[in-house]
Parts: sequence; C-alpha cells; structure tokens
Amino acid sequence: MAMSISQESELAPPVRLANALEGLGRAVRHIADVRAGADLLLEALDAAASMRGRETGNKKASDGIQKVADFMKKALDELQSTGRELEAAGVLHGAQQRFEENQPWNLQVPLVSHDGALVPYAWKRQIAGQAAASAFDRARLALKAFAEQKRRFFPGLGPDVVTESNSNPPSETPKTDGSNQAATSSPVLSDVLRRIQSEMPGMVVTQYARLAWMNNRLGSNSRFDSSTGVLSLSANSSLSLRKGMALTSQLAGGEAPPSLRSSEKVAVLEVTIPGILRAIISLLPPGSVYPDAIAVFSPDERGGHIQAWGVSQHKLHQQLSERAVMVLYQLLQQDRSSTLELLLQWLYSYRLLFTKQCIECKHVMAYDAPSGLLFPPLVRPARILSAAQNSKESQNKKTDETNADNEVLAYHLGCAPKDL
Amino acid sequence: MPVKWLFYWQPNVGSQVSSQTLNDVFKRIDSLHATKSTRWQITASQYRPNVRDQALPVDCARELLGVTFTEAPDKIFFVLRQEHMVVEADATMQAIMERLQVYRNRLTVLFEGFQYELGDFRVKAGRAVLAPVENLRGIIMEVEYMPVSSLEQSRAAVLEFMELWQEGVILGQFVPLELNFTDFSLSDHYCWQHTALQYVSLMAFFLSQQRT
Repeated sequence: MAMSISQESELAPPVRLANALEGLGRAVRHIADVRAGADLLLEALDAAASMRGRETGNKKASDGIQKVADFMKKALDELQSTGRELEAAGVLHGAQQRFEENQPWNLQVPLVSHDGALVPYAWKRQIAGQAAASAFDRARLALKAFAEQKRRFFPGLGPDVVTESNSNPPSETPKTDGSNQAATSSPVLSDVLRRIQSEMPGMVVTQYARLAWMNNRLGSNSRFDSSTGVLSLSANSSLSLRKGMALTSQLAGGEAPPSLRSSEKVAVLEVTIPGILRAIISLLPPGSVYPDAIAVFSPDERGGHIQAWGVSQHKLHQQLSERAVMVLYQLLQQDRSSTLELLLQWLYSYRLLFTKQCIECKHVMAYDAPSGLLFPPLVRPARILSAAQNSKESQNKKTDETNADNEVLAYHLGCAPKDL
Repeated sequence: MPVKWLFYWQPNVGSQVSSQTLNDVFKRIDSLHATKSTRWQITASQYRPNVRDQALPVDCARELLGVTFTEAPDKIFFVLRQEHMVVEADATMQAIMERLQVYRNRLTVLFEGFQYELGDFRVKAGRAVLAPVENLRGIIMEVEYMPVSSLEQSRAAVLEFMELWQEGVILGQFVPLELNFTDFSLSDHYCWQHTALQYVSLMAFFLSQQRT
C-alpha cells in the first residue's frame, strides 16, 4: 500500500481518508503485535529460567528467547515502516508542526492533508468542543474547503443555494440571487407577512437583516465587526450560543442601521404577542419564506441570548421553544412553502396562554409530573395534514379556528392526547 | 418586571396567628422541592410632618408612607394616599429627611422572611412585625410569576398556584390582597410602584387590625 506523495494528492478526500484510516489500523495491529511480543518475551525468559536447572537435549533456553526477540523485532520494523508511510501521507508528524504554527490554541491535532483542508471526521470532533470565536473560524475554513472540493470533484453540479448564499457576500455571486427568485410559484415573504398581519391582529412581526439583528441584540455590550468577522465582547455581556452553531454574517461592508437596506435580505423575524411571548425566527436562505430555526422568549427578556437558537431564562418559554422546534420540523417535512405561514398561525394560537383553561382538566395551571413544576396549558395542535384530508378542507378549517377564540384547543403537558 | 401578588394569612375563627404558622408555611414550601435562596426584608414606615408651630397652616402632604426593598437598595418609594400618587426617590432621601427634620418617622412595620424558587415562581414567605417592639402582626406570602409582566395575565396563574399550594390546609388560608391600581394611575404593566403600593396597603391593614 505504498503510494507516492503525488499520487496521494490526486485522490479524492474520501479515498485519502480511507487510506489514512487503514494505515492507522495497521499501525494499531503492529502495536498490538509488539505488546504481544513483549508478553511472549517475558514468558520465554520465565521458561528459560525454569529450564536452567535441567538442560535437556537439543532444546536450549536461548532458542526460545531468540525466537521471541526475532518476532518482536519484526513487529517493530513493520510499525516503523507504517509510521513512515503515514507520515508521508501527511497523517502524522508534519501536520503537528504546521498546525501549531498557525493556530496556537492548545487544541487537539486534527488530521491535515496537503492542501490545508481539514479531514472531515477530525474537524467534526473539534467543532463540538470549541468556543464560539474559534468555531466561526473553523466553519469558515471548512466551508471554503467544501466549496473548493465540490468544485473539483463535482464540476457538473450547479451552485448550492444554502452554502453559497451564506458564505459569500451578495456582490460576488449574482447567480445566487437569480436562483433564489427563480420560480414564480414559490411564495414571497412580503405577501405572506401581509396576509398574516391582516388575519391576526395583535401579533406584530418585524423584519431584520441578520447583521442588523446581531447589532440590535448585542447593543452597547459588544460589537460584531463585519469586516474581520470577529466578535468582541465586553466584560459583562451575556452572549450564549448553543454549541456548534456557527455565526453567519452578511459580509456587507460597514454597519447596517436597524432599518432594512435594499441590498440586504430579511433573515430574522421577530414575532411579538404583547404581554405573552416573543418568538425569533431565522430564515434560510435570507429573503425567502423558509424558516430555519425558532426560539420563544418572554417579552421582557433582554440580553444577547435572544437569538433564533437561544434559550430563554424561564422554564415555560424553554418548553415552548422545544415544542416550537418540533412543530417547525413537522411542518417542514410536510410542505416547505407553507411552513412559515402555518408556523405563525400556530404561534398566534398562544395569545391566550395565561387565561385559557385546558380542555381536559379545566384549570389554567397544572403540575407537570417529570419536572414537578407548574405550567399553563402550552400544547396547541398544529395544522399537520393527514393523508386523508386534502388541502382545501384544511384551509376552511384554518379560518374557522382562528376566528373564534373559544375554539382554540389548549392542553397541559400532561393532559394532551398522545398523538399531538 | 415580573408580577408580584401579596397574600396575608387569615386564621379561621378561633385560632390565632402565631410564629408556628410561619414555620408550617416554610415546611410546606420546602416539601414542594423549592430551592431556598435568600433572606428578604422590606421596611414600611409612616411619616408625619414635623409641625413646630401649630398655628401655621400645613400645606404639605399630611402623611408619607415610605417603603424600602432590599432588592432595590438604592431607591425609596413614597405613597401619598390622599393625593393618589406613588413616587420614587433615591435612598438618600431618608438621610435628607432626618437632617431637615421636616417629616418624622412615627411607625415602622418590618416584613422579613425567606425567599424560595419554584420553577417559574419566586415565593417569599415571612412575617410582619412592628419595629420597635417586635410583636407579630401577621404572616404574609409574596408570589412572583417570572414570565409575565401584565397584572391581568398573571391573575389566573398565581391564584391557581395558591389554590394548589393550600390544598389541605385547615387552620386558615392565605387571602390575596386585591388593590385598585388605577386609582393611583398605575397601569397594567407591573413595576416597583405597584409593589410599593401593595406593601403600604398591607402595612395599613395590619395596623388597622390591631385597633379593632
């Protein structure tokens, strides 16, 4: 399995990865052999010691030891050669030095191959353990590597809307915009929002571009410098992101004012039902109607953790956020283009969260058995279509339900029927 | 700001308010696996103007009811019942009043006890005592529901919480303190001024009880 260096670099990363893994497997076997050899050596020495008293015929003690010593030497030699192979493939030693020069963060050595791209599985291990700032850098590197490899190995494939519109500034990829607004049948965000505003009085939806939302949230505590992609925090700011989520930024030059500039796309929706809750929805790709993440907070909460992937301070809103994410994914699986509207309608059904009684037990507050805490009825059925219903039927049902406050079904966590 | 509801203990006919009741209350809260966090203390004082010369007409407020909270140590709130106002001042106001001798402290009621956290509820339980003599005037509970800032929205939640909590208690019950906040131009959105009004009303209630 000895390949020259030039051959190695021509191979696609998965093959290189397979070779590296195989080489490592061999190395592990050799190490096991060495260990076994050491055991055998001890045994042979022991046998020799017991045989010393009685030297029988043609079998001499030193023969046994010699045999084992040969075996061990062979195993060590093989180990050394495997090691050299792996080093040549860039799996070991050289990578350590290169890595330490560039990123002195006291991190585990990832497997680095020749063109600087991080081998996927080691990268994945790293991401899980890092702080937000280094996670951003890694994501940027990985996205760059993926895009480049995709270009090399899959030249026939068109631009991928998800990765490229997030990692490249709008000015560099005019074709991305084209593919976003391609189909005339796909829903437009402003239409959806206008429909929602008219159907649901009392619920306020505000739109933000992603960078504007970040600056808005972080306020005077920290600044997100878009040109260098560095987030600088002051001593008492409280920015907490769920692990593994990279900060995406629109790399438009300069700071965006809170109002929407025409070149920036709407990426964050803030949905407020005054006095009850505030939900943050992130749209992906920006400007479309496809929600990507949702989180629910109390209207009075302040802080940098109010993001579409943040966690509220109150147990009630944490539960609501979990349910919201469940409903989001159910709706996405069902029909991607109507997800946003249905999701907003579902949120609207929470407008009487603290005053409406549960249908089952007729109380407002009830104990939730696993946590031992009191919650109001926070289960609301969402418009999940079953195979039997067609969409027209459900349209009519929708308008009926939102018109009559009394017909909104509400359940406690413990009282809800199992299929909701 | 999260809404706080005040409850005072009303013993059933025949039984008396005692410090044993308070211990029972603490035990009951503990049994719900609440986490005990801090001591709390709220001081409510009644100030009367210091009139040196009886002949001169008094054109200032006849009565100031001041409240201080350990949770907001840099402020003092004054309730003027006749004028239907709740005002907020810096805590140094007390020192200023001492120096100027314009108003004098006549009576002080001290509310103190322990605070517990129970999920999204924050419960303070304690006693009310008249300051110099330290005799027990009443047992109170303050229930704070963190997610909500609107009085109307929190009503059902908090009252049901107390119902559930008081199930099976025989010797008496906790009665909610219902106040007309709009009389004092306070809105539905809860803030410290509401709290000041609540504690001052409670103080007035306890003081009036003794006289009857």
